[in-house]
Amino acid sequence: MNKIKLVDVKKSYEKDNTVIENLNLNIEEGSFTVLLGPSGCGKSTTLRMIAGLEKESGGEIIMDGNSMKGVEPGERDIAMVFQNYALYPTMTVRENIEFGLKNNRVPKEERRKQIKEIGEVVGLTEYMKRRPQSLSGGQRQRVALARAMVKNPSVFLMDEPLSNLDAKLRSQLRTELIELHHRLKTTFIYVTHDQVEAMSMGTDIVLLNEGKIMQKGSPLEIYNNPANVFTAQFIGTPPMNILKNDGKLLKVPKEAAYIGFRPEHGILQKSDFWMDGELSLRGKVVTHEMLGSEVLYKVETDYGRINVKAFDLGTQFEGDVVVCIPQEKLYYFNDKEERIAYAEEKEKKSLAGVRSSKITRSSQQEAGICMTRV
Amino acid sequence: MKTKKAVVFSVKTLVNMLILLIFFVPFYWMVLTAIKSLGETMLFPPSFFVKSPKWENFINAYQAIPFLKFLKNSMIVTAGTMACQFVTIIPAAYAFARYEFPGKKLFFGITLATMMIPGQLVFLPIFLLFSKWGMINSYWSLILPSATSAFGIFMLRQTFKQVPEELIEAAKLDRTSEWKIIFKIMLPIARPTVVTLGLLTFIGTWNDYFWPLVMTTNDTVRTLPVGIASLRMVESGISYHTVMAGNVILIIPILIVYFLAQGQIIKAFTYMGEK
Amino acid sequence: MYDESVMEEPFLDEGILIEPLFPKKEKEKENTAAVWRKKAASLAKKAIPYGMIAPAMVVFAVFMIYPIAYMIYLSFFKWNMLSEKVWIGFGNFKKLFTDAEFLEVLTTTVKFMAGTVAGTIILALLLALYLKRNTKINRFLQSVVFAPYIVSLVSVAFIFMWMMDSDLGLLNYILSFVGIDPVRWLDDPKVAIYSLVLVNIWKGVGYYTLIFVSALQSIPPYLYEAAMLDRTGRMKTFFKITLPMISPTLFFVTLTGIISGFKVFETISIMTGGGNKTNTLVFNIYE
Repeated sequence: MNKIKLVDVKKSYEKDNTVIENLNLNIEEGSFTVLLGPSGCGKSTTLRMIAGLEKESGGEIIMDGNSMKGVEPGERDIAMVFQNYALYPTMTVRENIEFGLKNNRVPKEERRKQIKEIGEVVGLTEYMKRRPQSLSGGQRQRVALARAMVKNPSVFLMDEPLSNLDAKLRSQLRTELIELHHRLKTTFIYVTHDQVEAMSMGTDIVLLNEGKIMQKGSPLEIYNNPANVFTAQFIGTPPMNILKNDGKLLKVPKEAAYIGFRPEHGILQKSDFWMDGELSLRGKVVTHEMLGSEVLYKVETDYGRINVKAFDLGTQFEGDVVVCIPQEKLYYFNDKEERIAYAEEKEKKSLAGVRSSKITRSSQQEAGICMTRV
Repeated sequence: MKTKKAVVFSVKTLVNMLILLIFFVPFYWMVLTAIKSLGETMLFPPSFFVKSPKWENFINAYQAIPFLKFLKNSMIVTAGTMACQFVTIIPAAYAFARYEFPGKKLFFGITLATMMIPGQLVFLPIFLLFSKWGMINSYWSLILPSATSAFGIFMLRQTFKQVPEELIEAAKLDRTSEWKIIFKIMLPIARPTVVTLGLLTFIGTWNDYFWPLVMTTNDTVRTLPVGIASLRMVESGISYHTVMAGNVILIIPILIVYFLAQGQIIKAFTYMGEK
Repeated sequence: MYDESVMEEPFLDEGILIEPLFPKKEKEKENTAAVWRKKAASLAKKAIPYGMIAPAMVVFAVFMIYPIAYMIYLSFFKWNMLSEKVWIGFGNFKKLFTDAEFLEVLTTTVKFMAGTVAGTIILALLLALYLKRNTKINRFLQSVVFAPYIVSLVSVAFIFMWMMDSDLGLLNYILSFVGIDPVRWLDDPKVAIYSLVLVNIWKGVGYYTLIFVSALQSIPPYLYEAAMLDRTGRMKTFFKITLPMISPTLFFVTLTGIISGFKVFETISIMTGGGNKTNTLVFNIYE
């Protein structure tokens, strides 16, 4: 069931400064939808239009079947968490959480009960009388989360809520947010530019670029079946290698303008080795980076510099090498940078998938780093 | 090396003492004269200490002019001006900081331009205006012309502008009305600025001599500085011990405020220079 | 939304409404009313910022803009507040600039302003350089130097009038220690204007000192460190680094100094009453 529907939504600030053009998007009830894209792609603007903080220049946003035209942000049954927390600096943690409830005329006894509950959930009970300035970044974001949760909204909007935190805290809160989504079963819409965040948290990813949707799908689908060069290069670290087809490459269909493969699918060989039946590229190792479980090689070839991951830590490659890529690991794109033979390969690729969001989640739960006191 | 250090130290101490004397002695001289007898003030060379302070000087100053009336007037005018400024500055600063509307630039430009106009230049038309309205010798003639402050609007607008946009958006999502946003969120954040502005207005209005003098024709609403200045006119010649006694009374409230909120006042005054 | 026609029915039955109702028409009316209400609401929303700035703007209009305009208007008329106004064009200005008394007032004003501004700024800069290090003693001295600034100019005028008394004043007594003959501070037409300048410097220097101190303290220390490594002399450091870095402050201070020097009224009114060649522009206007 669709929770939120964007129909031909447009946004332009001045006459010729159009940020979003004819955006159509369905967000499913109970999904964890991540709006992903580089900065300036319109993801935040989209979120703010859903919140009602910014007015759409054209089109319509429909929530639960009702048009949101002219509906004030406070009336939309949503809650939002901001990147810089947006906590009221002159109020204590308790007052911050209570402020919205008071405005909604929730009786005092009820408020007290709810705040106590929420405080326990996010682990802030001891900090209720403190002001935001005396809290750490992680604690502040928890307060912001509590402030959103206490309103019990049907949609949570989050605008890069973790990007002001350090790496360790970020991964911890990531887990907590996934937990929260499992428990509340409400719709989450999450904006980020960080593809790792998107892959690990989202049930749906909407990849945006320059105000247009590049691809929508589950993390697995987006990773294994990129619909275009942009998606292929945006998802995955390091990104997919894209080679321009000059017609000299063997066994590559003529209509493919670009060929892509992921770094982990390239196989490094000594220079005198030549594998038949696979795509092979001659090159020279420029650098190698030890990443722990794998080694990342940067190889200079006639088709530009490519990244290759090697999982055999025992052998080290230097100087001239050959990179072989198995035929079934290749992606083909036409001259408009769109994927060719999309339908026919779909099945094959998804079966060969290396990871899925579900697996990631359950393994995190097993590891016991998830939020306590559920 | 050691001697050089000692020389520097003693020179520094000397300079420090000199600065202290230059800026402190006039005040000391005021207090001293205020408790001298008339005969003592006529001595030359003057005496630097007083054996039997004449506290009755204060009573004399107090009785020479309708002192309580002047004090009351000073208090009413100062409080009235501060209240009016509070009412006019806050919404204007908020509108200039947070709204986009046609003519905003023009109105803000006018606001800034009025900062350049000294009151001494425009008192005549204002006097004529008030006499036409029959409001000469009323508190309104002293309060209304400074019922708002361009500088205050400018300063508070800067503070409001620095509040992150997200905070207001969060408040809107919390179903907060516009007035509640101003009074529950913006003003508490801008408290230091509001206090600073209040201090500036208090000191400026309390000390003002020109405006109460030119806007009045009798003592009904004249304020303390005008009253103290009129002390020099009593009897024949100036009896400085009485004038100084009145002076002490005029200065005390300001000095008390200065010692209570010294850091804040210094910040308030230098704020303009740092812009 | 509910349907109005359904709501109206029971009223009809009870006979409260005498005239027959046509639900459809009524609904149309309701719609236009709703449209109007919506329009009014959006208009009200647009009016909010104007309402917010209105009180302040009214005050500016009545007590700043109107008087200035009126003064300019008046300047083209011959008028002594009682007679009829007579248009004389630039006559007033012509008369002013040929009037010997006015020219004297103008020179006095310029003298007073220049003396005050130059004296205050130089002294304040020296004091600021001396007090710029953030120590306890310096902070105390800063607040002492600043104290005269917040005291009423009326009080300051009286204090100095007393100290500058030609016969009984403290200043002459102090000068006698150094062997200088008594100065007739306020009674000598050649000296009086400079005595007033002195008083104004004493009152204002603390303010400018504090502004300079905060400007000096905001110069990044690495500039001085770099200068030290380059073996720059003290004087050169001051003129090549310090002075350029505080030049915006210097500009501001000069500007406000000129404006406030122009406005000075209290000292003149109380200490000399405009006599002894101390009659400046503002005091002249007042008279």
